[in-house]
Amino acid sequence: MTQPLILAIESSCDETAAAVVRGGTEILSNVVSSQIESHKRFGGVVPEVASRHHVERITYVIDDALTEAGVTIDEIDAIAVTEGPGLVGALLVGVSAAKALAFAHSKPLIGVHHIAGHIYANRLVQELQFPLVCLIASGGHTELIYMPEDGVYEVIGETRDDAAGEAYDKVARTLKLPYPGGPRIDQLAQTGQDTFHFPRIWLEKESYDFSFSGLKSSVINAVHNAEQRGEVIIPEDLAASFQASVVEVLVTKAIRAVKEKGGTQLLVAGGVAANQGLRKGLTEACQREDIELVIPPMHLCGDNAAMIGAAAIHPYRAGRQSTLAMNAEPGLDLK
Amino acid sequence: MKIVAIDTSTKQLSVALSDGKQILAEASYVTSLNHATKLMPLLERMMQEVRWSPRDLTRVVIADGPGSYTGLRIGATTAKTLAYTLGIELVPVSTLELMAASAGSTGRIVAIQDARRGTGFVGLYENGQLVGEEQHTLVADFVKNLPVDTKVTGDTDKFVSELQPFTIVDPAFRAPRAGVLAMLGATRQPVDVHSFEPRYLRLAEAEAKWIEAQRHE
Repeated sequence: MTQPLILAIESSCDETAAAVVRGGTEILSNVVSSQIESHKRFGGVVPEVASRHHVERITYVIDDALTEAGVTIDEIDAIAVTEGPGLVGALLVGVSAAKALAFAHSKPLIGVHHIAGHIYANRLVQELQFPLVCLIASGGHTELIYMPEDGVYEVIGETRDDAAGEAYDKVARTLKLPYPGGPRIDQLAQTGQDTFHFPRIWLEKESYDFSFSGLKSSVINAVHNAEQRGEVIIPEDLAASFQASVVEVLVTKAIRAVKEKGGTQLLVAGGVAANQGLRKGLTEACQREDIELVIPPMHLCGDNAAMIGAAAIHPYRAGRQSTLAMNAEPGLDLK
Repeated sequence: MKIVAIDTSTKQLSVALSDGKQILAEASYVTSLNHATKLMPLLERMMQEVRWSPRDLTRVVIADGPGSYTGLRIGATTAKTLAYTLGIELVPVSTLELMAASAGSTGRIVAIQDARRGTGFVGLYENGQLVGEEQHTLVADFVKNLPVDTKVTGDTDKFVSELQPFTIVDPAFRAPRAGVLAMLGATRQPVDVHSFEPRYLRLAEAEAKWIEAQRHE
């Protein structure tokens, strides 16, 4: 049996992306057009600006994805697209393009949850062993997801306030680092020491939920207090102290989830999976606990369409198609 | 020639099919702005009824703005993706021109879309030809020197006092119609598909503020 070819589109935030994936595991092309340069001047993603850029670039990236894969649209078995969550205006561009392609060529249309995409990015590098636990950490999400089997998601923990990536961006702004701040904090932290001993927010003993707003406030207060006293803050140490708190909480809860849920693999997904401090902390803990750690390579951590193509294979094989009435779902739940 | 014409730029959704000589099918809905869910099922049904398959299409005509930003993006993305993937022509037509033409009259006519705070997206057409430029401006300023025999169409209800001297187009002819769009676009030059964007006629708010801030530096 030949493996199905899926053309996938992702436009939920500030990357316009298209990819061709074979059988949910093999990337034939993965084109990402980043808008980061445009949004830098605003200090963050502006939804209206992002949506306009998506319209400008959408057919270029689709065409590049097909050309790089060396396939024609006729050889494609299904069109997959991120239907949510994300910025509604941004999502609508990908959804409209995907529906036009599906209609024009009478291809099945498959709506994919953005986070399912991040999880299945891992399948592009390694076969998944169920049951498993996945730690999602990105600018918009911090979640622990239990997957008893392929295509089944159970959210067992989530952030009650800021996402981890959001906290990174806010701390970076306090340190007056240029946007996007997360990677820069990570970089500074490499050469700093945990001298501030910021709190670790554990919430209730049995909870898998997260909270980062208190930590964020502690960091901002530390900076303001130092300013008032005329003291100099060593940015490397501040970054290292903040990162130590985030990483310890993420790692500890993720490991506990794997042990309590009886999985053998811990998957990591989302933009924060690119964080060196988190990678190091998880690698050490998983070695100690004899858990298999699966982290996508750097280029698959950020938003991309190959991950959407990977996540689409299960619903495709199960015959779960979307209709041409598909809408963008900015608050879509992972089910 | 097999033309599909799409207008999603206002609160009305309108789709039409034409062979370039006549309108073969046309449907318009005023719904609560859920063009995203309605457009493709409607187009699919109309194509089935005239027994066309997508691969028969030769041209996409799209109302390219001004209008609701989200609506414009749904239409523009659908139109350019169809044109790209079917390898067919893409022809944009101004939404204000479409509104003026849908009013069906010759002579001088202003098309207005409400853009809040007394402003509108406005265009003046004379016998089908644009006079000056389409713009986002105060409606009172735009109409103050126009002759009183000028007709006005569009969101006229929002500018009752400003438009008091003029003839208001009857509501029966105020809706932009995709059938008219198809005929307007039947003979025009196509544009480059990949680089096509809707005409918003206004910067994103954050961008306008950023440009303003640069000016003061």
